[in-house]
Amino acid sequence: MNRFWCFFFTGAAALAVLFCIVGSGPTYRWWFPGPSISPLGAQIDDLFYLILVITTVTFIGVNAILGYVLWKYGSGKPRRSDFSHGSHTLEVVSSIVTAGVLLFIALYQMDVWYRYRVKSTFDREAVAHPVAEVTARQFEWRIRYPGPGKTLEDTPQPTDLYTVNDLHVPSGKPVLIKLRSEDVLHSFFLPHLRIKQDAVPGLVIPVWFQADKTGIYDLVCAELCGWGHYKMRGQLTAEREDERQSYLKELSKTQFDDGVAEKEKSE
Amino acid sequence: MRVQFVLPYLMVGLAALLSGCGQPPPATFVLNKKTDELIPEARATVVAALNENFGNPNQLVAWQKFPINYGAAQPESASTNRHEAGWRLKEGRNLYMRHCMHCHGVSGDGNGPTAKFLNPRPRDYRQGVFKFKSTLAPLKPATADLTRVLKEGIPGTYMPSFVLLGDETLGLIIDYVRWLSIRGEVEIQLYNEFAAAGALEKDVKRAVAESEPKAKRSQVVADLMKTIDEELAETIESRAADIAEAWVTADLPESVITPTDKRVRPTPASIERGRKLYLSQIEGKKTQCADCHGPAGRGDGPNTEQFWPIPGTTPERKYEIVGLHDEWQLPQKPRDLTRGTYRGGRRPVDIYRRIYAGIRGTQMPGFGGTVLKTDEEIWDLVNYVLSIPFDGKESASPGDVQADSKEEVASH
Amino acid sequence: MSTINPTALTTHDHDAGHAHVHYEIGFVRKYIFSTDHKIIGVQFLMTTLLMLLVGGSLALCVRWQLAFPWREMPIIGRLLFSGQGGAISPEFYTMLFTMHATVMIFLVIIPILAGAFGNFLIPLQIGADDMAFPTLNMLSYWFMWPAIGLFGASFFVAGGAAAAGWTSYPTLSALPQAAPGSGAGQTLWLLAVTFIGFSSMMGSINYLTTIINMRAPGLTLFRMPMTIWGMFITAILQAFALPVLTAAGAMMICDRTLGTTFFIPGGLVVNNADPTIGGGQALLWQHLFWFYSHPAVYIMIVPAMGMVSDIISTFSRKPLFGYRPMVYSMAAIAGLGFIVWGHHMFISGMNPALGMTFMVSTMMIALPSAVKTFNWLGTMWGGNLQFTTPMLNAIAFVSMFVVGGLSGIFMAAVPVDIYIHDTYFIVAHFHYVLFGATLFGVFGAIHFWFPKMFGRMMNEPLGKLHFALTFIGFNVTFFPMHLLGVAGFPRRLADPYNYPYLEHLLPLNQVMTYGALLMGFAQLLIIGNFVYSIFRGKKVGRNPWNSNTLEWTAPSPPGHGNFDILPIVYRGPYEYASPLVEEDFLPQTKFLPTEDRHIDPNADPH
Repeated sequence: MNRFWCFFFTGAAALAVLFCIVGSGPTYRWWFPGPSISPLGAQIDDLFYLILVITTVTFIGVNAILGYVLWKYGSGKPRRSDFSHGSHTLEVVSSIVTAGVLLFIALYQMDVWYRYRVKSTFDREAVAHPVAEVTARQFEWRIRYPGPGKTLEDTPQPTDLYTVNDLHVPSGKPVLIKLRSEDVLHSFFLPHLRIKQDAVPGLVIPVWFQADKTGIYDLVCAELCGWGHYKMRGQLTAEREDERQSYLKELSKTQFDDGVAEKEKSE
Repeated sequence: MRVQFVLPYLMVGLAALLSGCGQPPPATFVLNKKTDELIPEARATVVAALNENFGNPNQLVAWQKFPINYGAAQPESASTNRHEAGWRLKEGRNLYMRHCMHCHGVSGDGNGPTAKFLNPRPRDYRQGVFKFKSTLAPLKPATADLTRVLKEGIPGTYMPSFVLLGDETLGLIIDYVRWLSIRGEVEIQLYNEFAAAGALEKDVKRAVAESEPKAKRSQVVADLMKTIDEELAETIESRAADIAEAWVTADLPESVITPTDKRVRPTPASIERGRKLYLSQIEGKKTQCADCHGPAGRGDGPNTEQFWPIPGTTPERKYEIVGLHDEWQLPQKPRDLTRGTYRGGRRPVDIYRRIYAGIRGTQMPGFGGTVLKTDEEIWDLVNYVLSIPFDGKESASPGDVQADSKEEVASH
Repeated sequence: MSTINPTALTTHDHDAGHAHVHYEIGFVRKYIFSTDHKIIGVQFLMTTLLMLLVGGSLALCVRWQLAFPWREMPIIGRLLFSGQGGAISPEFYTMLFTMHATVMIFLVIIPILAGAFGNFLIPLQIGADDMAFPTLNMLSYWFMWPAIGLFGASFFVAGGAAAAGWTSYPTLSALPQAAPGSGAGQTLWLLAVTFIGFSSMMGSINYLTTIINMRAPGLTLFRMPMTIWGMFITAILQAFALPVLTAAGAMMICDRTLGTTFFIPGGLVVNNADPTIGGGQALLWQHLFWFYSHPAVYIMIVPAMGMVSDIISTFSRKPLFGYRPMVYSMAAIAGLGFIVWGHHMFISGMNPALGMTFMVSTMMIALPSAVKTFNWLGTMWGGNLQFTTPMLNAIAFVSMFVVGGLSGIFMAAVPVDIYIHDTYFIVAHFHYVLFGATLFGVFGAIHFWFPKMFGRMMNEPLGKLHFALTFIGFNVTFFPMHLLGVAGFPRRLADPYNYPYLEHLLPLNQVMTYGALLMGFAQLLIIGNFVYSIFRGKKVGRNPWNSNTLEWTAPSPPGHGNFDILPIVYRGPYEYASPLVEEDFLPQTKFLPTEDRHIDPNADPH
């Protein structure tokens, strides 16, 4: 019976590892929603995998030790414990090793964070010409593009183009959006690009990202914003610059539609 | 073993679990409050008629009379759901229950569990009255109008955009909404018929009191119900036919309000003409816009500071809340035009249609063909309205229009 | 000095303790408004266990919705949402998870550790006859009830209970029109949390004073059991962090009722109301809230760490590995706990340079945690392990704490946190720490100290069965959440499958819900065991586990005034398998005339 608990605990750990391997595999795909399509996201993934390796090794190591201890010292055979209050040397060595690993992770990641958040590292072109202002509100993403050939201003302009829930950005280059909220906290989350930024009421927060692959990606609200939080589904459409321009042109045509032109066409 | 003493606990737990299992309590259509004013016998007739022709949320009846695509049977379809006729209605219901019901309610009465907290309240479809549409004032909305509302949402309200559900899904939802609306309208029409026939509680009481010689209530009711039942089939048929026709009419191309003249360029001159119209400063053109929307367009005109009578009340009663009320008897604020939020859409043609035909169910009247006789006048007003967020200096316009207008000035 | 050997008394009938009750007190003063720390401790324990059931039921409702979205919810659906087929409404879902977290944190984890075990164990383990301020102690318990009442009442006010998450981020929580639960429910919530704050603060002052002033002769600081260290450090944390939350709560109440705008910026249009007047800053709340709530995370685990250390040492029959490093690491966790709150706000628009600072401090807090794990394993290494129910729960604590600790590294790395923030990865992490670690520690502690509380043992086979089922259910429920998080599955969504990229995760969520149901029903076992054992469990003497610490020299249950013999402490609490004596334990109070003090350098540093 005593061995049972050894198997119980180590078995659970082994199953956990097995579950991760199987679950993340192609059959179930309980893993990242595809490889990152942004360079920054790829770096985040690399960092994730690095930490995953370190933690997995630690996890297996600790559980191996636990299993060994439970096996060896939990056999139920009568024995008298070793009378030891610990070892100063072991304590110091283990702490230094752990501290070293932690410090390594801490320093190693700074670069990615720096490039994601510190404005001076942003692409100048992207900062000078934000592609859109995304205003989160309960429960949708209202998007304002500058009119063709115009630059996004802080306040609405007569030429601005409006749309909802569908953010079109040019692919293959860094783009910057201005994120704001009309009512409560929201969070602008692009899982395929590994981008997330809270939309804070009262603040205008610049967010930059780069979609290298054209396509349609989910835009998720990741911060509780009320009863309809789950309804805030949006999408990011990354497309070639010329496609985006024609999209904007189409949008402009619809938005300034006076109801007459289409009739002429149909005649 | 001492396991036996936990058994009671396990039993209690199991009982709790089981009480939650079994047949789920069915979702139900609730009756219109008005129907409850009828005498129980007439009310039962309404319920029976609704059940027969529309079923209940779990057992829908596809009444072929209406211009709704219920979904023909597709025996070859990979999806087994589609093997039976009426699958579109069922799928529409499933989608509606997932995406819409929490606000608009199971019956489409705008009274879902979340509704009481929302401002403005979600639409009650049962009157068949919809605010944001492209059709002529008294008509129902075209299918395209409902699609547009689902896609764009209604900015400034809790109606979000469902654009990402895709056209096919939206089509299913819209047909279900139209079906719910028809169901609600049939109920109201039956109520009106029966009420006119004297099936209201107070009418029956009066009839009993005034009868000579003194008749029993049961006798009066029996007579009344006999008349009603004799004409019932015909009544339902004719009412349904009217409603069906109204929905068909709405989708005809000629029902849509289409300006004949192109939009007038939003030049300062046009905006100024529009401003004068807005302020009723032009002789013979009493638009009275500012009475509700306020002189600066802030939605704070004098009409918002009065207590208005409740229509159809005798003796006349007034609303307890100051300001305008809509057809659903809920407080209604005139739009604050300075914010640049347009519930029915920000396209010039949307504003045009609002001005031309008004907004159904609200105090916003239509001016097309009456006060504002020409398209040019309406466009001037549109240009002014669209310029209000920019202090009346420039109007929402495509970038190239701005450039064009400069050329225009130069060429003159 | 006369030598007394208290272990000789273990064979005495436990009634011996009652001989010291000199005066008569009525039932109400004795059992309801009691000032006896043991009664108050048991009151706390019973109340929090009841609340554990409430919180657990709320959690099961949440799990149900995630596994079977918009399908009829058992019981609740029938009671509240019958007209719509029993499917709950989305705002009800937000109330469910908000109140689940609120109940679990404020009414279960914090009071069960500090309130129940802190109260019961502190005087007993330091050899005092009661707390320093018995009346304050009583008040600290009774201040919990208004909070429970307010939380409960909030479900019945217009709009329902608070629904802005337990973090109550403004402006969702600050503007009454922003959500149904942000009406009166949120105000009641804030008031209730204030009451809990008073309760905790009274407890903290009491614990600090008691531990500092009322230790038995010979019980130097470094002879205190780890449990006492845990409670001590927790009390310090609470005393310094809590005022910030109370102040923030008061500010929020002002925002909601008096029209101030501490947390509300201007120009917000919510629910079609007039634009807010504003001038405030929504992030301010996050800073204030986490300044309390991050230390609170340690308030929710440090006492459990202490109790688990006691249990592991006892059932390994071996001295605690590295007593002083354990104390220092606990202190380090508490100290660093004050400067890491910003890691909850990495993506909230905080200054990025500040983010780096918080990241480094957060990384560093993993170090003392690692030291602790290392020492627990070291304690077991070379021991003579006895797999009693408390020991199994304690091992589970270590095992689950490892998972929770390691997943914490992911979040500490800011770039990775960008992605996993507000996903189920976070949910997995804190459930592994708060449930996996703390609650298993609590289960262990209940089984371990039950004989001292009631003079009877809990049923062992049943305890083991409960442990095994809970452990399995727990892991089935929470381990897959890591993968959900990696898949970008956000928290707090009533219908996550609205997003196409999450649709394939529904089956996994159903499996997790089955795990949660298993875990939920397994708790009936411990309730049954607990209630049955109070009345019918096997009677035991003073020291059923052959443990060393002071409480085991008192009668079981101890009478009013606790100790029939004044304990005098001669050594540290973990002298198991000492070569000085024949038995494998050596109580702190046992006087050994022949003791050679040089054998154990750690025992008495002064």
